[in-house]
Amino acid sequence: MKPIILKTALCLLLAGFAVSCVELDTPPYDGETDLTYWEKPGASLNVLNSCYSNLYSAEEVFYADAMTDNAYTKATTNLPQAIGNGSYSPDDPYVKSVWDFRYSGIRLCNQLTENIDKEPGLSTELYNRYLGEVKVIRAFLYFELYSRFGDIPYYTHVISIAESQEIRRTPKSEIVENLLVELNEVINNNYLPSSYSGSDVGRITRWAAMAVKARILLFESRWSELKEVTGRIVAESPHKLFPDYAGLFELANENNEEVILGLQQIYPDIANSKQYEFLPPSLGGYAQLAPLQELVDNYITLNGKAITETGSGYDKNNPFVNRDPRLQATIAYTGNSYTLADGSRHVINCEPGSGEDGYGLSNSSPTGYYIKKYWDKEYRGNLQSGLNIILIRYADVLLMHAEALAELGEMNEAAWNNTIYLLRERAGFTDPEALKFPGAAGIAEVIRRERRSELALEGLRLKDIQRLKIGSTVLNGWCHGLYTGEVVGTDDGYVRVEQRTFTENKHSLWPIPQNDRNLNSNLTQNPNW
Amino acid sequence: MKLRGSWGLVGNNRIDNYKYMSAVSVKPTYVFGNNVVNGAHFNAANSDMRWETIGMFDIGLDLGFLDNALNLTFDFFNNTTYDILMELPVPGLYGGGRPIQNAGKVRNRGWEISANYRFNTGRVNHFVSGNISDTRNKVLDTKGTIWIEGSDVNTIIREGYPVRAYYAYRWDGYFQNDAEVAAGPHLDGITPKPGDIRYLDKNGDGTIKEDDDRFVLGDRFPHYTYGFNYGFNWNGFDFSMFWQGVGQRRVWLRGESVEAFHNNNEGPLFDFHLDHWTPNNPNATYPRLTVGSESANNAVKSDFWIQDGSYLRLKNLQIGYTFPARWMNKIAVKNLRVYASGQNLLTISNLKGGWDPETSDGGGRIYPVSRVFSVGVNVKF
Repeated sequence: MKPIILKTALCLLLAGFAVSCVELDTPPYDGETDLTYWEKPGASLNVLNSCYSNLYSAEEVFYADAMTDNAYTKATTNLPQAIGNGSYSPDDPYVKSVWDFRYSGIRLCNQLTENIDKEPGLSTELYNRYLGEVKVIRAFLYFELYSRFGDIPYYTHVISIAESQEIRRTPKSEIVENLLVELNEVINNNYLPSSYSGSDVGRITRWAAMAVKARILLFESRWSELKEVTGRIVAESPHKLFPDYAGLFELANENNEEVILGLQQIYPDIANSKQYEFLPPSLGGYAQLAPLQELVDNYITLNGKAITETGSGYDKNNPFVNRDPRLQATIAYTGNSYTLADGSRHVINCEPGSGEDGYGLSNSSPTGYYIKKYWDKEYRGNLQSGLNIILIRYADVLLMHAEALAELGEMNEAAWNNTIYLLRERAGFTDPEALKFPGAAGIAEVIRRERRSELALEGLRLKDIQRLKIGSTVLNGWCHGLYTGEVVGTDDGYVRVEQRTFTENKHSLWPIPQNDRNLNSNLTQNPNW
Repeated sequence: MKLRGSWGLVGNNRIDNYKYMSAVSVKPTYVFGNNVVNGAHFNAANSDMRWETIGMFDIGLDLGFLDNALNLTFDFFNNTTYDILMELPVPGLYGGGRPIQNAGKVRNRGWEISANYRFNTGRVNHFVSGNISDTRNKVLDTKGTIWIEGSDVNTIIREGYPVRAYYAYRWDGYFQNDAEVAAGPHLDGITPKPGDIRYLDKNGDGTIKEDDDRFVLGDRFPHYTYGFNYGFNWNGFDFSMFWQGVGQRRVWLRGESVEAFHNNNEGPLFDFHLDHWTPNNPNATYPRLTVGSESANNAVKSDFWIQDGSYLRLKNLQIGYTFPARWMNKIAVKNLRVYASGQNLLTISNLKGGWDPETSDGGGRIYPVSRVFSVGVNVKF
């Protein structure tokens, strides 16, 4: 008996070794994985920083107006030309890229909200601030998605592949309420500071949180709430208009007092070469993105009147004189100039046959106008620029406030003087006719025209077209370039650039990308796509 | 004669380590206060990953005749892969890249025959060899999941079909006149004109939609791949040639490689565009010529653009002459051979536009294969 007992004991002992307590999921020694990542100080901050870089891209801001009556891009692939002219399909690569980019940002945000508790030693103040920043970023991302796609999959945790193949679209109204609840939590609990200093400049402040909320309320036409939140920014925040409209977009004035939220860049580490794509050939660009005549026509004359109004003083033969000074700061036309690094002026001639910038050549502007806003005179090789791109600025807050007041019937002289007057004065208007309150009749239209001129080529026009439901008016038929006086290929002498189509019951929403519908059969499609 | 047989069960080692965990890299990502700051990046990972197992079965027969001057080899194999590991597409809304996933059960079944024969006729030594093989693969079980992917061309992974089979509309002739256009069916949102491609309305609802009118159009793999070698030597002369080809293959070319005036006239035109549809040429091999947005109907993904990719190619041909040793000894050279050879001398293929039949599918932005002629001298001292 004894040897058997001994053998059995020995076997059991050996078997005991075989099932020791080493975990099967062992982290690799040569790299970090999500198994151990969150256990180290600084983990949350690094993820938060990545969330910022997934908020917006310079390209998306610049090309957003190419989908509107402000601009046109001659690039046919991977940029939004097809969206501008209405010929896009659920397979459109740009539609997919906007969708994919935002959802990868949302996943990063969810990583942080789900795991921030694991980081040891994080103070309550930083914990709340990080959560505040990331929730505002996530709300901004969802806003950019639902404002284009309508009902969309909405989730605030890190989803599995299986979930992504089954998740359904959440009704837009439900998403809006959720976003407002999250933003109110951040705002009402004062999770975020009023401003940052030193190496934190550029992070989301309390005012940026309110401004994102205002953007959503504007898109939803919730005027009294919009009036309240924009009123709070006007009354309480340290933000004000930068004294010089053109200087607002210059490298020397990055993160000035007007900027509420900006895409932070620096040459050469985090830079972009988008200048190359919109500058005139004489400055080394190839102008594949160019402003339209329709935008040029939006700018008022120096006495505050639209060019179509009687008494505006607009002269068709001298179209660029006697105009809103912001036109000169935003668009390069014949006779306008770019200021170079040495202070000299680089004058542009867009007339057909006038040289490399002249209309009609393959590398010159397809509209006869060039973008001047965001010209970085300090640009480096290949037109690389580290100039920050502004996402939200105080002028926008004033315009949203003014529009809310106008819609509520509360726009009066005092309100005018606190909003539009300030913008026109800063722009350089001096004629009292342009500065004074024009009366309540038609004031909403005046404010919307002001909004389009002030914020031109900053990527906001598309949402204004969507919320005002004017796409079938402004995005149908030919869009135009400069006046050549030719008979063929023009309308009244203005060159035809592109024929566009917009049907409200189809194009008011983008199609859900076919790629995702191929892989998730629960995703329904938007009407008429 | 020899009969071989084997069966085995093996795991897979074709993927990188630690793919079930998301590697986190921290690197300069953003800017605050004009200082570059670090950000964390999570690699695509799949924590639900399992081992891939392959059950391999092979049976073979080797035959030798005439003192092994003629050899024949037959092989049949049947491999079943369980939980096959593939980089599958995921919805963009997942937000975390394309991790490797277990796609289910896939079978690869095929056969191979090869033969070689050496013989002499008088003072001429001949050698002949040839081989032909084929593999068919089939997705056996994905628990009902379907993966559709691709941008230039669409493919599908679905039970009962080959892995990544082509997936698109079927073309159904051309609209010949306004009455036929009015009768439809039309692509959603596009009104065609006479001379445009008509697509098969799978579910009969009058509208062609990606949701319910696409067909699985067979696989993209080459079948019946074969090779043939022949050579002889005679009196110092030697000759050899190598032919190879594919007996059956579908290849889907897109974009400027096949479409006339593609992308607003960015691409070239080919001779096969000459036979385009007009009212007087109703049975043309190409639809009416269109440019810009007019091309929208014909440019959608359909089997109109899927072509026969079978081919036969003279891959190599060489002629040489080795000078007799008795001459060479006088000039202290052991061996002197001169030769001329050519590669890719002849290709017989049905592919339009002269594209290389070995091309992978897609936009056709490829270099053609080069034809190489060379002459040489081998000297051994």
